[in-house]
Amino acid sequence: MEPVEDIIKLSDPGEVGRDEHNRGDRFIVQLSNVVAWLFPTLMIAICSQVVLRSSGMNQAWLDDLQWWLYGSAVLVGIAYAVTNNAHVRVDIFFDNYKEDKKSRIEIFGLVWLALPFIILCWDVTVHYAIASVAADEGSDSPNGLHNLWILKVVMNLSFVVIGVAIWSAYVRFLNKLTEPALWKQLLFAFPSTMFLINLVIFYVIWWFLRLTSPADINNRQIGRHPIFDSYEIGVEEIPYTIMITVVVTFLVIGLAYLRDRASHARY
Amino acid sequence: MFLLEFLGQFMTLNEFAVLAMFLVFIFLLFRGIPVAYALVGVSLIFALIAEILLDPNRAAFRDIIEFDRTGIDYQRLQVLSGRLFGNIVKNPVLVALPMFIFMGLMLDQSGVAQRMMQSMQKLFGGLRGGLSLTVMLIGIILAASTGVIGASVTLLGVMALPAMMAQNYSKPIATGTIASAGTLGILIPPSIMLVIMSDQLAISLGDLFMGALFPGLILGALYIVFIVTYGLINPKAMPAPPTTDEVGWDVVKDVLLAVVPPMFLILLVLGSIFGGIATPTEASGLGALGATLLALANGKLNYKVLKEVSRSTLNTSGYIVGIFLAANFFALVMRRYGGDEIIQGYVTSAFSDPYMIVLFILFIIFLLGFLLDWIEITIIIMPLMLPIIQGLELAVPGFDQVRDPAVVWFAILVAVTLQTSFLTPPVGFALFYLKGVCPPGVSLGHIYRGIIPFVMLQLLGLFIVFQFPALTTWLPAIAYGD
Repeated sequence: MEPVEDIIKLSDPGEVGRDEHNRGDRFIVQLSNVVAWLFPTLMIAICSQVVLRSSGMNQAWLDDLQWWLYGSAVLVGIAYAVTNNAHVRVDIFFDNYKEDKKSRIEIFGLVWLALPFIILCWDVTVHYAIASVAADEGSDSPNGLHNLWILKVVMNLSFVVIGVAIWSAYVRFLNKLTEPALWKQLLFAFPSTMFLINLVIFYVIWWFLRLTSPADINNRQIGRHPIFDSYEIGVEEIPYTIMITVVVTFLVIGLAYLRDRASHARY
Repeated sequence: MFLLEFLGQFMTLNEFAVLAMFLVFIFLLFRGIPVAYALVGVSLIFALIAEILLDPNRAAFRDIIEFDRTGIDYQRLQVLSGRLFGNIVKNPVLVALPMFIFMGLMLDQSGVAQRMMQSMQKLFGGLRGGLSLTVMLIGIILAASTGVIGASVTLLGVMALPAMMAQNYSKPIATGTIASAGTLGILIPPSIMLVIMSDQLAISLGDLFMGALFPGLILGALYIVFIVTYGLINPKAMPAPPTTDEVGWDVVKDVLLAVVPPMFLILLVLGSIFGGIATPTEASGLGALGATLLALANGKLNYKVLKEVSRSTLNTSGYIVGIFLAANFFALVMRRYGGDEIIQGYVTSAFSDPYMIVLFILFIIFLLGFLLDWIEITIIIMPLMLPIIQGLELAVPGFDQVRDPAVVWFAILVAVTLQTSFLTPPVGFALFYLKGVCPPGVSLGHIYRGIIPFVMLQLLGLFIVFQFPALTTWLPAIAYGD
């Protein structure tokens, strides 16, 4: 019966391919190793609730706690699955590709498709989380878990974690193809880089205006400042912030390139 | 422009865009991009196309082709935040997902399967076809432990195939038995697939579990009858072992000791739902604890096992929820293009008889099963089919208890269809998982030949459920009736 034991034996998903992991990957694995203990905790929470309720001591907050635990765990689980390369794929052709081609496909999927979406998720949930914090949002049930805003903030942060997981996995695959200098990292992840720079520019301008405007000007008026207008060519509208983004993106990548060349020249 | 004008004669620009969305998605999938990334990628691309190209130029486009404005812009994507929170985080039904995964992984580690195999082999070993029966019964009892088909087919394959080969079983019949027993897990409750279906189709998980019980048992019974009959007709295919030990009372005792604990676990899960002690979600927690105690009783539980089971649970639920996350965005973008109505229009206009429409959908799902795992199919396709099924006015008895009886019936039909699809040569998933653990000398050809009678039985089972919808709704009605 020995081989059976061997084959069904679980391995620790985060330890597979550990040699290739970089610092970001290890961070995700270590965070996930802690988060994984939420599942046994969830199991105990559920069983306690069943026992307590049948003995007439229903704890409404335990009902809420169940999906609090589940929700925060699985969101980190998405990042963990990115690091472990566990996301489901159709591998009929993929398995026969050469290693180089596999890495290029991984890179395309990670930073051209997945990461822009995760940045989008972060951006839309950050407002959601802030609104919840500002309203000091509580539970639907009077005896439930209060401070629902904590969970919404956790959801927002988990997108940062997923983003870190994707970027680290991306650098790991890039490393197989070429020396992952910073400018190459930024250039080969062009859509993600540009999206991120766009967000930075937008929020920097917005907060600059907020902090320099008198307090009686509300947020909505700041949003209507001429800098957030668009340049119109025919039917197309191109916001000025996007134009600034394009320029800054090329500048950033260019500067990273020059810095890399300079550091090479020194040796 | 000329191309658009040409297309305009057959379809609207929206229809063309939706079609293109699916084609790009399939292209990305075949290149080996993970499903979740491909889903969000294609949605991002089409959201950008709408915002930059189609919507601003809609006047120009309308001169040559019909087009409805999509209205996608960055501000409106804000609705995503509420959806992600409501559908993924604040979702008490999905709490059952990691718990059932945990339970399955723990059950695999607990050694109950090996114990059942050893003891039942002694009990049935003297009989002709005893090993096949053993595999089938373990498959049915351990169905609880699965949902991720690969796991159970692999487990049964490694455990039983060498013994069957040693006893000179015919290779096709041995492999056919294992593959079909292994896929029963996606149907027989508690199955993870049913958890996701109940979430996506907005029906009660308890109803689905109870509804799947009879169809699952009918399929199991069909398999067993087939194996016994086949053994009688063709004794050489499943020879009895040359020497057999006396079957004494201690053998029976061993079998009972091996079978009763996992049976008890299943009764715990289903019984607590049936008896109204726990919600289906809570039953998953009870099941997880039960499996952990079982592992403890068998001396297999230690810190390392608990740690690795928890981490693997995180990994598996992570990739499943990843597809949830992606599918939310995909659905949002597709709906803005009017994709829901377009697809519903196509499907419902394909046939006039509502039952033909159901069969048509099942056939499509059968084909998709060759390509995609049940996770993607239930998350992406099911929500699109829900309004169609609800609109068909199918005569499925609900016994005044079951809400949406037609949807429950449909969900079970889809489950059986997917299971059939995973078994069907040449590309069924289960067959490849099994090939992966076959000893040398067993070829894919043997597996293909062996599986054919089982695929026939699956189709028979599907036919029975299709003809007698009450099989899926009677038990839930009793369970939740007064």
